[in-house]
Amino acid sequence: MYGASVDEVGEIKSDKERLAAFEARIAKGEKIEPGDWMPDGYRQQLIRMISQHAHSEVVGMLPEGAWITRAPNLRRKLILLAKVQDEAGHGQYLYHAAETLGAGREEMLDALLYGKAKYASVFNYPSLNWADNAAIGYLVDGAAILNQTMLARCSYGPYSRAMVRICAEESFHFQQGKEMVIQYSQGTPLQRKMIQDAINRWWWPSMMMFGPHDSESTNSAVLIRWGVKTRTNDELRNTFVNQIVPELHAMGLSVPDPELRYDKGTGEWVHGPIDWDEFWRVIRGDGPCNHERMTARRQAHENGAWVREALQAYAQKHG
Amino acid sequence: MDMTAEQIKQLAGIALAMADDELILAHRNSEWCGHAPILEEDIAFANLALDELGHAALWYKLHAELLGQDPETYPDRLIFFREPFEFRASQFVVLPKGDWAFSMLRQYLWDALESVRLEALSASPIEPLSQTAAKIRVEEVYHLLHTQAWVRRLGLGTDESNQRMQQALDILWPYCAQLFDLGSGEEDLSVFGLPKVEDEWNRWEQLVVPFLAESGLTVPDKAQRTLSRSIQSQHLIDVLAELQQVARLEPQAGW
Amino acid sequence: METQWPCFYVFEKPRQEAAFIHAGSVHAPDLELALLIARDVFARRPSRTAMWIAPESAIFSRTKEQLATGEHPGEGDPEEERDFQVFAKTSQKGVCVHQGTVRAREPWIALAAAQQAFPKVRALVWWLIPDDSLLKSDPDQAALLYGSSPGKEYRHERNYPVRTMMREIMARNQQTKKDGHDG
Repeated sequence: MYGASVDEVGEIKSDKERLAAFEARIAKGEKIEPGDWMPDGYRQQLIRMISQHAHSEVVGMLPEGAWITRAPNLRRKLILLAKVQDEAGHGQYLYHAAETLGAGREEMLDALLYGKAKYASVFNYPSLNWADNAAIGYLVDGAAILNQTMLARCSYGPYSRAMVRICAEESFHFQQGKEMVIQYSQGTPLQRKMIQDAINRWWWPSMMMFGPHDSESTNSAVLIRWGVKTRTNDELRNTFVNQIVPELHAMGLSVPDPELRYDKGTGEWVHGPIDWDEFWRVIRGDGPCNHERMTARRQAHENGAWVREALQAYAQKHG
Repeated sequence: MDMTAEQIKQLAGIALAMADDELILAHRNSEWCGHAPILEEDIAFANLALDELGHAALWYKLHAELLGQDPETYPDRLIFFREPFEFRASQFVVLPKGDWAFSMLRQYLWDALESVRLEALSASPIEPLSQTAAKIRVEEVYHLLHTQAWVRRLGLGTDESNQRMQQALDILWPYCAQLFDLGSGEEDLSVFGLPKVEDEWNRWEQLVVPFLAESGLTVPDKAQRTLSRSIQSQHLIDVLAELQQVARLEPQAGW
Repeated sequence: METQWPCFYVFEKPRQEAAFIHAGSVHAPDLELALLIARDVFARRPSRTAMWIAPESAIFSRTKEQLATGEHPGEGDPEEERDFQVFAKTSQKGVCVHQGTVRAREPWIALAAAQQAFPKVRALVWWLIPDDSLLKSDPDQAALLYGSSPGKEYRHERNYPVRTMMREIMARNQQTKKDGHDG
């Protein structure tokens, strides 16, 4: 796509005037489109967020992907394969949104595979029993949906449109997970043990998905001012807790948080302290599966190099 | 058309062989999900696997109906609780996924066979058979377009991609004949609308051999292996150990 | 080296009577494969009646803001007159929607022609795409290519009766509680 950047043409405005005009547009609820003027900070924050989000979808294929061949019946097999396929699709939509900001897909993938690009720490935990797929759908996708529903309203047009598509598909991911959690919680003693084990292991990583507390979150304020986010990390996390905890309790499952309590005054569930040391350790690469996840993605990328080259060569010869 | 008890049994066996082939091929292809050479193909190749799984379900259902079993629950019994020696999958689909050239070429050869076979079966006088075939055929049109586009590009791409494709063809070719043998020996299957093995093979060969040649690939001068669908390879044991593992944790539980 | 293949924009036609809309993009080595891949990426669930593919590099784009800040037409190389497909985004939340076709020698002239041809369109973004750069799906194959996905029920939320399941659990819990009190 080609469109002159506004920086190069027209009357020269000061950055201050441009920023004021830009923020006024956002305050009016307008969407910023590729080609429109935007402060460099907005572009950089969006590239960071969207590419991290895309990476998370792609790495997120791995924990569940390992169970496609082991799904216990034909229906679950179809569901899981379609779900992991959707995750590739979501990564695909998101890389596209980031590309409209001038980031190249190769460059973003290089940053993931050989650099220091981050992705959701939750995908660095292992998936150890079949019921993990239930917990991932219910907790991890349940947490993701809250974030994504918010981002579907974000001020950058291509990101918000990608999110609208993703939200429509993601609700199936959540529902199929929830269906399994309910079913196994009411199932045989072995199934109840399996689902409780899975909830115990995925609860805290899911809680961490919303990111650091508002008081520690360096990017939150500017992202809210620029209409990228409309709710804070803690607001979203509290919504999650209030939605999930009563349901888990109703199903007869417990939450692995000894300090979890119901505040009668506010009518809200209050969770205990989150282990932020663990969060940062996993983000920085020292989680249970960081190495395996990156090795798997690097192998796919490197083993596929001859394929991508061959098709490029064919296109040059026959294009 | 009314079938004799013997014919019903025979047709059930044919449906089972086709179902097992679709199931195991889908299993192998699904192993690529998350590991494909480019993100777009994680999506596209998973679609092929999903479609093949859906086709397997239709053939298992037909098998169940012919035997008077519950078409909703019997397919899962067949998939997850048969022993390896009861499977009728061909060794062609059971072979490990190999590299991208191998998986793509295998899928192409399969799609070409499906296009020949389903065209014939869509006109079968046995209504449940013709209906099932017609449903599956709709999706196979797209499969063939997709895999043809890929085989041509990999065959004519770079020296490396050509060599990998040729290697894949050399391995796969001798396993092809077994696909045509649906386990009923020398009997005449024309009552079901199935072409004679020889005729089906010829029509398939007319489709794939010129196309492979155009794609820079040479059909190897290798004899077809004589394989029976009732004798399985070690690979199937491995596939089923994985595929049946969770279902067998608690056979009576609903998952 | 960029090994991710070039980017192609995908346009989809949701229903026979509907206009083409922008769906997203795919990376592909060429137009033909881009069209095949687009089906898997964008028509996994909803059925579609047609798709168009355009190389990203062929799309001429101007936003309302760009036009308002006084950008002037450049000196484009005079080319053969050809058809341009005109797309416009007209609502904040919307996507680029096909408006029609104009004939022009270069994109700037096509944009002016589009503004004249579609005076009621209040575009936030204009896209002009030379028709000869597009690959269009074959109408004879459309039903086969884009028609089968609605049958995949497991992809849809409605297939999971979780509300009913939760209600049943709640009712059972109530009953148990009541029984406990009564006993």
